[in-house]
Amino acid sequence: MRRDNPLESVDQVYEVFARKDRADRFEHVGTVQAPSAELARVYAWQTYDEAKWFEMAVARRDAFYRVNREEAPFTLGGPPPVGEGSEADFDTPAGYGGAVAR
Amino acid sequence: MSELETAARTFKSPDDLPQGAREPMGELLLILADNKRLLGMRYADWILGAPALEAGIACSAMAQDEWGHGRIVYAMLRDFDFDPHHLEHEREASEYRSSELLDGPARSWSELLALNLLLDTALSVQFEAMAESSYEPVHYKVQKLLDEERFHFEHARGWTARLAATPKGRASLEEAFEPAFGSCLRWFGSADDPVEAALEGAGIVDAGPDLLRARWLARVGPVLARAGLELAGERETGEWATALVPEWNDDWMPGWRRTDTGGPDEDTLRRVRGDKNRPLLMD
Repeated sequence: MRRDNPLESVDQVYEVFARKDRADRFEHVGTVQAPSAELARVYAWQTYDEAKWFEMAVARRDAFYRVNREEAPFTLGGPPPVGEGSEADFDTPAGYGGAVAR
Repeated sequence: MSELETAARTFKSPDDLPQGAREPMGELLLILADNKRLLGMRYADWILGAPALEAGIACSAMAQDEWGHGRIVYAMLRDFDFDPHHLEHEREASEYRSSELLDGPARSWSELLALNLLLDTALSVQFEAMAESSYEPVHYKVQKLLDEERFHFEHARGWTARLAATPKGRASLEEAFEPAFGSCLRWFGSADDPVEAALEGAGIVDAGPDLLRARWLARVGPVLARAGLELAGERETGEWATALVPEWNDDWMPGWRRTDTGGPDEDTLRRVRGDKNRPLLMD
């Protein structure tokens, strides 16, 4: 990401959830960075357009309360250092823009 | 024919349209198609270089939407004896009916936002007026288009508020929005526009120029006001109004909704017609 961009200094990370069908559970599909919830909604809808979603919602990352882990939920901070964060390493967060961490 | 009978009638093809409404309908569709096509290109110009990665993705999505809408409308023009291939690939600049705001690229992010908020919304207001159109081929296409446009408007609203939060950002909005605002205000045409009168009379659109302008103002006014731009204000009655009075001088072309100033610039024309890939055109 272009961290030198002053516009991004006010951006917040929003977690994006969606489900394809009314019967499905919400799934965490990724994150967007946006200066407002309004734009986060637009970005989420236009970025994660791989399915015809029944429902999509965004929530600010800092709105989540940690339950059993020290780190913030979902994706944390920047991308993992090279060589780390492989698929087998379930304890390492996926990093910015990492889709569903499984 | 009484007003009630006219309102209840529906037309399945251009040949069913009342005498005097067929040509105006073709003109309106061409205006809308050209604006969608060119606006899509302006969004695409900013896929790279938008102030945030997400905004670039949004521009890409909006460009795709606009081109899709343009395609649908160009295809409809086949029924009006236009050749869509000719329309899309073989016209001269002066034959394009797109707004003069689209003749050249948006030079700043604020100029792109002016197109996003003001012009894109003007087009949506015009399409919305056909949501219950007596011309069935249009009627059935409008809703999906408007669903997609909802996000374009929210993108514009979010970014306008974001830029307005800093003095520098607001100054750049002011510079870009003022000319675009006047141009869009005029785009709906004069109250006695003959093309629009024919369309309204046949129930193809549900409103004339003044009412469309009022609907557009009610949509963009609150966004402009929230950004501190003094282009429109709310009356005590709840209506939105502007002190700006549009003028339709001699170079205004009704049926084109633009001024007679030559059309898109050369580079735009080359790209919009797909000149580079002309040998590959199959149909």
